[in-house]
Amino acid sequence: MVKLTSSDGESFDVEKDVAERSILIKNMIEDVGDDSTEIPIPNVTANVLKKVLEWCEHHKGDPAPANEDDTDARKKSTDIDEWDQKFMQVDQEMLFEIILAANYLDIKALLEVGCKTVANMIKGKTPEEIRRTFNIQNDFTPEEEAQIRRENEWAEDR
Amino acid sequence: MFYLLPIEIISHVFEYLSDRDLSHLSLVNKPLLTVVRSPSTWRKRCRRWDNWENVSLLRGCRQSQHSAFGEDEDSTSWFQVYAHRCKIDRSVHSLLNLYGQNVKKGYAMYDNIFGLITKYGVDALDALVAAQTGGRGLELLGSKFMASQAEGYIRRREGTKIWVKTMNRELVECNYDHFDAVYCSFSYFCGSSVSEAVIFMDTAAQSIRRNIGVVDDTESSVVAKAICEYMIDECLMAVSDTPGPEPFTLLAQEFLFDKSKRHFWSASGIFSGIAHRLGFACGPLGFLFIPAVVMFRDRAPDDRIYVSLVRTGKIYTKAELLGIVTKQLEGVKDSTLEMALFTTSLRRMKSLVEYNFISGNTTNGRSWDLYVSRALSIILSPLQMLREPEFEERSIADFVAIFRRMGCRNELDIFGDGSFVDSVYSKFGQECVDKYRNSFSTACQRASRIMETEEMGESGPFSEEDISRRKFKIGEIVKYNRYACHGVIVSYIAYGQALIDTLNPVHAIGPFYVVVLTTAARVCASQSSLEKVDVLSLYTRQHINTLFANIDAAVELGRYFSRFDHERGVFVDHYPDIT
Repeated sequence: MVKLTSSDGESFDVEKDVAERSILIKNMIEDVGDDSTEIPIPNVTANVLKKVLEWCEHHKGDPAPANEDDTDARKKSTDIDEWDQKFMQVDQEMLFEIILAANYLDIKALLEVGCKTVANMIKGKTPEEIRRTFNIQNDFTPEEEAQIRRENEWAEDR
Repeated sequence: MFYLLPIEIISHVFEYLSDRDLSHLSLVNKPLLTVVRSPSTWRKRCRRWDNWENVSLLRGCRQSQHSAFGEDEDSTSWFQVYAHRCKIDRSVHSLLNLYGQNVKKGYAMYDNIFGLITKYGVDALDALVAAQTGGRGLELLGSKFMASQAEGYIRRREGTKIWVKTMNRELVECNYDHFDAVYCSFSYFCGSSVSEAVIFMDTAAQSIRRNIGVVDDTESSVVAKAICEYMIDECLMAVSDTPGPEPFTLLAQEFLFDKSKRHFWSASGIFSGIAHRLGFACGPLGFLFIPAVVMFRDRAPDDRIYVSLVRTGKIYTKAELLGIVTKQLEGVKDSTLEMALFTTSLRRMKSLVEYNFISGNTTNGRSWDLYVSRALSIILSPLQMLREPEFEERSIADFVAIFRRMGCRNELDIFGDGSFVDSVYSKFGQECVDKYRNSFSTACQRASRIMETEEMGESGPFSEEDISRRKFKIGEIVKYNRYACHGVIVSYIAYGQALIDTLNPVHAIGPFYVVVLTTAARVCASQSSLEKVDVLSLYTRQHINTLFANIDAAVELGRYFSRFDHERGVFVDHYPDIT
């Protein structure tokens, strides 16, 4: 078991192989060489860390991901498995927190799921729909908008 | 907020989005526009390309140029590079959708094209920008010509003379081995004088064949069609830009030598040149001008006569073609189109003239000879001087003979007055005038000989006797005994005596045929020199294919027939169908 402490001081006891889904934690454990040490996670709050650990718990048996750099070339699919989809049904703030945490903790698979979820929120939407989804104000003048549209014309059927 | 996430995460999200999604995202608000347009986004996308290394090389060039001028790096240029390629991509796709199923080849062509653009570095990218503002046709054609044309433009700015010299040298040195040939000649051509048209035609068509790796007619027709489309587009644009009175009423030389209209002429020239060189592969679109003209005249001689050339066997009805053509030609004047016709192949013209002469057609109230003579006065002399192999004295002689038979006894009626020669002089110098005069007088002499021999014997184009004695039909495979080789009858000819080797009086008796031999030579043969071949019993399919395997022969035959009918053992869908 490993003890993790969130930024707001809450402690979590986690199985080692669950915690080691995070490359950051894995490296720390290796560096310290002692499982019993308490590991501080200063960038992640308790409620987010709990969520992240829930994901790690579910995915602890997953095979190691293929080398990500190789897949750079091809277009990626945004398919997400059912459990992950449910897992990601959280408010936007939490979603972004999870993504940031996954990035910080270096959990590639979770980061990917997070990014896919965001991508799916954007995909196929009109600019106005995107604004509504993320609650963004349009700050373009009509002229600016027309200009950008012209520049983007080539992308419309792609 | 989503766009407040670190850039590396956002760019990770972008990986999952299509270009369209990114486009929409950039329209959401300013911070997002900045993020979407950041160079890294597009650089990443560009990295997906196979020829990434070329592209990054290109970028290197650009950057060093910018810094040399003390400018900041243009942050949107990755975006531009990507967008350019996508536009090309789209063009190629629509091309493929339009014309062919050979997707793989299309992609090969496309990668090749883009590789070439990137090789041209800085100027080529600018060229793309220039070309894209230039017109709708350019994209269709593909970037080869974009690059070359716009490069021509760029260089032109730098000084035409140096450019012309350099190009000449390059043309000599490039050995046709490289795309440079196309590029040089096209740019040169666009940038300087009409007199380079022929060089371009040659090099362009050869290089297209070589560089795009066109091997069979399906593939080459995709390419050829693309080119022709482009040319048509270009021509039509130029046509519609022509202001003022009907160009047809302009003097030929004005039209030809007026700089502002030269582009149109040139494009048609290229067009016919390519059509000519690519032969049958180019049939359908190569001669789109002709149906176009015919459509816009009241009396088209025949519904299918001009389009039965289509090698694929597809024969368009007049209505279908009209649909295709009118779409392109809306608002273009009839007479302007005639101009386009005039700049296409002389041999085509000849067939037209012959056909109309034989069938007694006049067109649109204008007598055909006037119509054609104007055309000839436009094209004949300059092309003659340019040594287009097709336009040798003999074909001019044929023409003159035809005209005389139609009542134009004075060649000045046909070829205009002295002012034309003056124009030639001012543009090309005395040497060319002399050459023009010499070849013209040779042609006239030949024509007189033709006329004499004809007038001694027969009354009409085809005497009753000739017709009744005819043993062979158009499309039949025959043996030509003088050269001991096979050939195909492509047409009947009435005034064959003078064209036949008169040293062989045995063969100087009609009826006469025009025969395309397996060596691709086109000869005029008397019936006595031909021997019947029983194709079906003597040859297998394989035999026949091998017999005409010579590509030049195939091209030549493609001008007359659309296919070989293996059941009947003859070439069919003859053009023009005067039997």
